[in-house]
Amino acid sequence: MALERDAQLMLRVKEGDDASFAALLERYRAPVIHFIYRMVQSQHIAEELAQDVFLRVYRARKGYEPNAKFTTWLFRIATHIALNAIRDGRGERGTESLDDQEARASELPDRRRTIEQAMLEDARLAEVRRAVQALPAKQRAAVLMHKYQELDYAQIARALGCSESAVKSLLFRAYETLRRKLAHFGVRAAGETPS
Amino acid sequence: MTCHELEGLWVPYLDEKLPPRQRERLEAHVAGCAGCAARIREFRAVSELLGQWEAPAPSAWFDVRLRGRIAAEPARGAWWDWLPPFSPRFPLGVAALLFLAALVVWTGGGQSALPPAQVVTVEKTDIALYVVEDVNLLSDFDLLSELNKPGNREVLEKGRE
Ligand SMILES: [Zn+2]
Repeated sequence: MALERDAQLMLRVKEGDDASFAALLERYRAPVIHFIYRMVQSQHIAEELAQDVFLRVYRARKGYEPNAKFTTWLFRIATHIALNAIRDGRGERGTESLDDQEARASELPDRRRTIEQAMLEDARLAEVRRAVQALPAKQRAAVLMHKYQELDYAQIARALGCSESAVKSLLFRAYETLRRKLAHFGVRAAGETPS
Repeated sequence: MTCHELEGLWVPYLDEKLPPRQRERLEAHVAGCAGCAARIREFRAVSELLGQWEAPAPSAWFDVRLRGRIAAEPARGAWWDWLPPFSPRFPLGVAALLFLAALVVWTGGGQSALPPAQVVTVEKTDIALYVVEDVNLLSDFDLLSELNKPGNREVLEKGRE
């Protein structure tokens, strides 16, 4: 069976090829930062922790064996770093700093939103973020890997160190909590809108 | 099938990963259950809401900083890289080295180089530690928690700058 491309790159990193490390970084920089950002909801902390993730990958290169998909291995490291940071109380901030919010607001494309629309959307997104942050950390990690990283159940299970059925259960509980918390925000109405 | 019995099937159903027979059973239940029909719609709506949450782009300094940290890593991977920072082994190792140095100064009066036997011993220790730490790194994530302790981290960061 042919090795996946990422695993081949990582094996070259193992042999000392820094260009392959740069290629992996290019490919996974944003996914790792985004995953941790949604876990801890602070851009600054997310980047700090993502630095640790890539440094770990680099340091572990000599012992790397392509036993699993590269993304599984990478997100296992990212998940552990994020969960440890949250456990130690370093990874959770109630709200983003004003800087973070302003920086992102300036990145949003001009969709000629009315002020009212903008306020509604911002309020709704803030509510979504709060609801996600209130999830237990493991459920949160499962939802984020499932929704945004599109990892399959087996990969999420390996990243979290649990069974596939446990992952499905984590996801179900998380979605149940989210739908209850977000119901007042038009979850029902949004669901009934034909797409 | 009761609503409760279907719980494990919802997420795979919405991901369209349910085997055909299970899917048919779930759909048959939903056709006669208003509560579960609402749940499907609401799960989809939650998923849609989550999809609207964009994460900010990585900052420009991310790669620069990472390259700096990697460049600061010794190229050959000295054995002490693999020790958890400030683990009990670290002060012990320092103490052992100081003791060894004191012994050399005391016995040899600082006139001769290290006896060959001692050099060999140190090299053997290097290899053993290297291998052990390598395995730990891959299998034992307590290493990470060690790294992540606030005190250690600050000192570590300072050391890297
Ligand atoms: Zn039902």
